[in-house]
Order: sequence, then structure tokens, then C-alpha cells
Amino acid sequence: MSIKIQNISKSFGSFKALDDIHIHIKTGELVALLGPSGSGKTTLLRIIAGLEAADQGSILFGNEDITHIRTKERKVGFVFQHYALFRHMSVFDNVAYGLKVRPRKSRPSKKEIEERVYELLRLVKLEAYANRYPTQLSGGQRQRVALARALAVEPKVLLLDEPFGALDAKVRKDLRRWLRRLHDNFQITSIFVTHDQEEALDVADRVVIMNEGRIEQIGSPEEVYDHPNSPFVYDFLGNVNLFRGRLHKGKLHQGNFQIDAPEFSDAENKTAIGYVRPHDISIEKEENSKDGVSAVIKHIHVVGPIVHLELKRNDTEEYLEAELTKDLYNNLQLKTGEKVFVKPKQLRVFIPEDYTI
Amino acid sequence: MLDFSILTKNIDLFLEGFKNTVLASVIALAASFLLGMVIAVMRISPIRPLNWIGTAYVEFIRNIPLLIITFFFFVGTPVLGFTFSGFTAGTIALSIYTAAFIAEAIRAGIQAVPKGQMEAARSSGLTYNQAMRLVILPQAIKIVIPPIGNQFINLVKNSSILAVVAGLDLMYHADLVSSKTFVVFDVYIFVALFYLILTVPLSLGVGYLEKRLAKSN
Ligand SMILES: Nc1ncnc2c1ncn2[C@@H]1O[C@H](COP(=O)(O)OP(=O)(O)OP(=O)(O)O)[C@@H](O)[C@H]1O
Ligand SMILES: [Mg+2]
Repeated sequence: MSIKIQNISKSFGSFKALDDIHIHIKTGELVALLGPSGSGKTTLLRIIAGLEAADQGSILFGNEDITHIRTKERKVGFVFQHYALFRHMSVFDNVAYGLKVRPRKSRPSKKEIEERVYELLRLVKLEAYANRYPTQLSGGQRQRVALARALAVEPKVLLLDEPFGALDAKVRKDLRRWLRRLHDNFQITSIFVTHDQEEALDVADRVVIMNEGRIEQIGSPEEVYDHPNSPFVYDFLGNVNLFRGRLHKGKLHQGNFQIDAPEFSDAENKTAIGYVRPHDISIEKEENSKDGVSAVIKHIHVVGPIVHLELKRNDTEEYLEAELTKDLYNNLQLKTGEKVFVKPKQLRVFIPEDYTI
Repeated sequence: MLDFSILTKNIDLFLEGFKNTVLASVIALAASFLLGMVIAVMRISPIRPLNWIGTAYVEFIRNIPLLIITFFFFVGTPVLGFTFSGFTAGTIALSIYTAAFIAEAIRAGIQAVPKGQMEAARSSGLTYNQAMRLVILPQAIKIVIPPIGNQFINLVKNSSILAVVAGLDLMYHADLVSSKTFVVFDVYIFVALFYLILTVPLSLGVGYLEKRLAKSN
């Protein structure tokens, strides 16, 4: 089922939590809502589920406008940030409940309910735990019960609010891959909220980046990571180095070095900032060209096949981060305290007056 | 030493009083619980007017003395054309008064159930009423039993208000005995013992339930 979110706005008092949100999600897509705390992710998800009413705008499931339809009738599965399992019910009952309370004519028989619940528990690998109570489960197990419960009502749309938020890194990674497979097998449309960028980039078909109630960018993980459309997105998705300078006729000047910024060929003497990812910084031992920046290596961290360098520029005293492969690092034979020349291989220039960060 | 002959000689009066105290307490207990439950659900209802009525009830009743409510049903309502015996007036007042406290205890219990439980229930396809009945109240009841138990103990003690309107309860009969025998101290000690016969088991029972519930979590 496709989801169309059309100019949704929501205020709490005078505070604008969502401001004119548009998103079209295709059937079968897995979309991640990514953004800092307070950016409106949960609010948007709750509006889609009908747990909160929007001040304006509409939501369509397929061709049906469901803006004014109650939660119960929307047939969405919702996985809450803090599980919200029914604490006085066993795992089995938690999953079965949505089916058990249906009006008689649409309610499956007792046997059918039981089969369905066990099928779901098998899926989340918790058949052996059917008779336990939520307090007797680990965080990851509770999360999986929450997921089974959300799936029990056969939703066409699955909404997950930071489903793995409270779990440790290893479990998170396993569960999110597993969620991806589950999503594919069930052929549902899913939206999941996270503020972990790695998680979003790892499993989502598309990523929606939100900030202060607005959408900053929507795109595939590659698009948003490689081509951020604003300083905010650059900053938010991974580490970034800033090169502040003056933009003049297609070049960014800073101190005694300059870098090409061809898309700004008609700029005249503007203040601008170049954004460079750590892995887009090249390190040279000799000054091969005039546009290298002289810097000193302050720290070296080797993490598996990647080497992180912390550098301090000799001209501005600013710190920079660079990443290179272990091979390159070994070839260059870099050492802490060594003087090197740093050069952005690729950079994106933004003029601050267009954006405020 | 206590003079037990006062107790044995007047046992009929004591027992008559005890019987009426038990009766008034049991009636008020059931009535205040039902009324309190209704008021509590009104107080948290999403329907505004119900909400206002519930809040007004609690704030009004809780903040005036029980004695005044009792007098209202004894000497006030006859002016309006309803006359009650002392026993009835006292029992009604006791029910209405205690209901305010029970409503507060139940409301607090319902609100102590995390908001997510209601939302999870609704998104699993339960209606508001189903969610309240099947998910929220069963969880709230555990939280609510200790404070409600305390209110019941208070209720038994407060039933002595009947004496003021000639309600034929234990306290009323104690007054009779003491004015007849001119003994004050011993009579009221015996009365206190009768109250303890009611309140101590109640108190122990609440404690026991509390422990049982703590274990089942
Ligand atoms: N019921 C409410 N009443 C008032 N303000 C609210 C309410 N719900 C949310 N807000 C505000 O709206 C903003 C967005 O909240 P929301 O919960 O959607 O953020 P979020 O992106 O999910 O954040 P997090 O990552 O911390 O969960 C916040 O500033 C929050 O304080
Ligand atoms: Mg949130």
C-alpha cells in the first residue's frame, strides 16, 4: 500500500512540531525517518498511525484518504519506541490480543488464532517463550514480541519508532538486517524512525532527513550521503571538515591556498564554507602543488582496515579529520607529530546566507 | 483495671451498635467504590463535560468536612422534601464522601499505567472501551489496591459520624451506655476494641493482597 503524506503541519501550542511535510512512499518501500532529537519524527509517525491529529494536510493509503479515520480502522502495525507490551499478559496473549477482541464476524477461530500466533512467534524466534511475561524477557526479545504483535493484525503499513533504540550495537545490527528480510517477505510498506544514521543508510530504500519539523532531504542512502543538499545534512550524516573562506569567480580562497568551486563561477567575493568528508581528504608528504594545506598529525587511530587521522592546520590552527586505508597509511609511513600536506579531493561549497546552521 | 461488667451488662447495646456500624460500613464501602469508579472514569474521560463534572465532584466533596455532608442529609434535605433517618443520612454521607477519595486513588492508578499501553491497545485494533476494560483497568487495579484499602479503613472509622445524627451505630450506643452508667473511660476503650475487630483484619488483608500482587509482577 502506498502512502501519501501531503502538506501535513502540526503545532503544540505555539511550537511548530511539523511544518508542511510532503512524502510519497511507494508500495513495498522501506523508508527511514532520520533526524536529531525533537525534529518531529515521532510526531509524524503518530499522525500516520492516527494517534495524533494533524492541524492540516492529508494522508492517503493507496487512493483512500484516511486523515479522519480512527487508529483502529487504519490497520497499521505500530512498534513503539519503548515496546509498550501489555505487562499483564503473556507473550502469546500480547500477540493474540488484537485478533481475540475482533467482533465475532471478522474474528478468526480459536485454532486459527493460535496457529497464526505461533507462526509469528516462530518468525521472531520466540516460540519457546509463548508463556512468559514481558518482564521475564530481555530487551531484544521484548522488541521482537512488539514486532510480532504489530504484525498480528496483518497490517499493510508497518510503522516503527526507533525499534532498536534501547539495544546494544551488535543486536541492533542483527535485528535491522532481519527486519529488512521480514519487510521483504511480508510485502508491506514500512516507515521506521531512527536517529542512528548508520542504521538508516544500511537498510532503508530511501532516507528522509528531518530537522526542526521540516524535511531537509529525501533520497536513496547513496544520494543523501554523497550529495547532501544542505550544510545540515552534510553535518548530520557523518563527520565533515569545514574550510571557511572567500568565494570568488569559481574558486574558494582561504589564506594562501585556493580550491576550485566551478558551480560558483559568477560569485563575487562572498563568504563561503567548503564541506569535505574525512575520506575525501588526501595526505601528501611533499608539497606537490600550491593548494595543499600544511598540517601536523596529532593523533592516529587505527580501526580495522581504516585509519583515522586527527590533524592540526598550521595556518589557522583548526583541527581536521582524515580517513585513509591501511594500505595507503602503510605506504606513506605516517607518524604522530609529522608535518604533511592536506588537500580536499572533493568538496561542496555552501554560502552561509542561504542556510543558517 | 477495666470494668468488664460494663461490657457484659450492656452487651446488647454494644452488639446492636456494632451490627449497625458493620452494616453502614459495608453499604458505604460498596456504594463509594462504585461511585468512585464512575467519577474516576469521568475524570480521565476525553469528553470535556464529563471531565468537568468529575473534577468538580472530587474538589468539592474532598474539601468540606464529613460532618457538614452528614448534616446536609439529616437536616438539610428535609427542607427540600426528603427526610432520612440518622442511619440512612450518615451512610449516604459516608458513601459520597469516601467516593471522592476512592475516585482520586483510582484515577491516579489509571494514570500510572503508561500512556503507551492505551496507544498500543488502540493500534492493535481495540476500541477505547475495550482498551480501558481489558488493558488499562487490570493493570491499574494492582496499583490501586493499597490506597483503596486505606480508604476503606478510614471509612470504617469515619462511620462514627453516624452517632452525631443518632445513627444507631457503635459510637451512638457507646454514648448511651456511658450516660447511663456514668462511666466514660472504660466504655470508650471497649468501643475502640470493637472498631479494631473491624479494622485490623481489613488492614492485614490489604497488606496480604499487596504482597501477593507485588509477587505476581
Ligand atoms: N504532546 C506534545 N505536547 C507538546 N509538545 C510536544 C508533544 N509531542 C511532541 N512535542 C514536541 O514536538 C517536538 C517533536 O517531537 P518528536 O517526539 O516528534 O521528536 P522526535 O524527532 O521523535 O525526537 P526523538 O528523536 O527525541 O524521539 C519536540 O520539540 C517535542 O517537545
Ligand atoms: Mg521520537
